[in-house]
Amino acid sequence: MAIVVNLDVMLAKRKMRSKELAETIGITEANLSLLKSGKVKGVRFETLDKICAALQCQPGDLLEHRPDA
Amino acid sequence: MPVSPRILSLSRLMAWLSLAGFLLVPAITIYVFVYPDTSQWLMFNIDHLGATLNGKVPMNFRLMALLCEFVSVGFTMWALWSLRRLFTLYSRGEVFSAGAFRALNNVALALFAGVVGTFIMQGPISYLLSYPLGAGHRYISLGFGSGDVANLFLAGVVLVIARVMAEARRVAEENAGFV
Repeated sequence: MAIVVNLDVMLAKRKMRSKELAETIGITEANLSLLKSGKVKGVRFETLDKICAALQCQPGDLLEHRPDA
Repeated sequence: MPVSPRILSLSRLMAWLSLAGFLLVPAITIYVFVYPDTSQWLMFNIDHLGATLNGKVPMNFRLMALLCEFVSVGFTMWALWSLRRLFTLYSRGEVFSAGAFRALNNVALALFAGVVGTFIMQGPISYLLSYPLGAGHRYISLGFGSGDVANLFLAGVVLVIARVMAEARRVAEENAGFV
């Protein structure tokens, strides 16, 4: 898919574990793992809002468009 | 999203009731045909026979009529078995599964087929039950009553609900892909 999820990068930058983020935003670790690997059909604005608030970043920091990816 | 415990327990109860119906309907039908004079207490009304079912009709004619009656009983059993399957799936929390949609669709098909089967078999049943009355008294009865209209309407309702459930399943699957 041309949309790449850079959640791993942001987690590393903020030195936060996936488990901690999952607990903070209220989704399961399994779903967060699917999101990190880009194996989801979409992300709800609500989830995106919570992730951005928890990681103090912008949606653009998490999602990237790579036409040739 | 998890299904509420109340729905799960209600579904379990309905699955048991459907299974009871599945076993009781053929048993009672056989009893009514074999012992027509002593089965009034059951108040099991078979109003589509088109002829009087009583002990004066010889047993072999009653048994042949019972065989014909089992066409519609068979469809009723299919509907009840499909209902049992549907509620069993609901009790496991599989509300939007492909199996639940198939079971609901089968209920509607069985109801439709039951109305058609009952209408078709009414002729042979009435002929068999009136046969012992002798020449000039035998008849073939065909009727389509308000009960049949109600059953057809019910089948239509269930069929539409099955289609809506299929659409709901598609939406649920789509939602499941979102985080």
